[in-house]
Amino acid sequence: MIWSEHVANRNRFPADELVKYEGQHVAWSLDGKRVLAGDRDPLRLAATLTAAGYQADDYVLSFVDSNSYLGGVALDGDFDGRTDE
Amino acid sequence: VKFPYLIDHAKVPQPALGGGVERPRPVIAVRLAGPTGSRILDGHLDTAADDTIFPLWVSTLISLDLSVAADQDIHLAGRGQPYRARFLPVELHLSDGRESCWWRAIVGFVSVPLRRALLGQAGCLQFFDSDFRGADREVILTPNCSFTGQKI
Repeated sequence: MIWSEHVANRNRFPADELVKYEGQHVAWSLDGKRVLAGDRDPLRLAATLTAAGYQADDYVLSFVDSNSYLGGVALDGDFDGRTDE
Repeated sequence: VKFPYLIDHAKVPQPALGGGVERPRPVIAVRLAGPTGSRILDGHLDTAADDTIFPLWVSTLISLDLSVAADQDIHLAGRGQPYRARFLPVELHLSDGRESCWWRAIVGFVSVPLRRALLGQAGCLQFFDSDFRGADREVILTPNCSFTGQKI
């Protein structure tokens, strides 16, 4: 994967298309041109991709969020203090 | 290794951006390798993060054995209560498509729903001299003298 091409294509991806995945984990194609799938549950997303025939190296896992943050810690959605464990 | 910034978009015009909506961020792809494979995911280069932290679900995808993890409480900025992080050695890999670096590091996994991995000082930035080029919206990572991995 050439990261500069991946990012250039992701940066060109229409915002009004991406907003459909707001609050979801998504898998980007390696060229950054397509969202292969999205799901609020990252493990279910990975399972969906595997079932569709994708290998782990075929995509980049990401998260769609249009909020602003101070610092890099950004939590998925309206985090209420509960953990996944 | 040079990475252009990823540009996220705010839903509404941002006062700090003069009404703009583009949020350029030093987000890069990082490959995290474990016993049964690897995953590529977004990682946010964060000079304010003491450690390199991944969401716990990633450890499941690469079959890390958390029973041997070193547990430690960490604090997330803006959150009052500490959260338990589970630290394990992994292999990390960065590539811009022309140059690649990989190295072993001890990174943490937390069960809070992080939206992106945090590539912080310990485990990541400690091994690089980082040049955040705001005008060009890119970051250049140069392995430094503490880098013990491999660069191609």
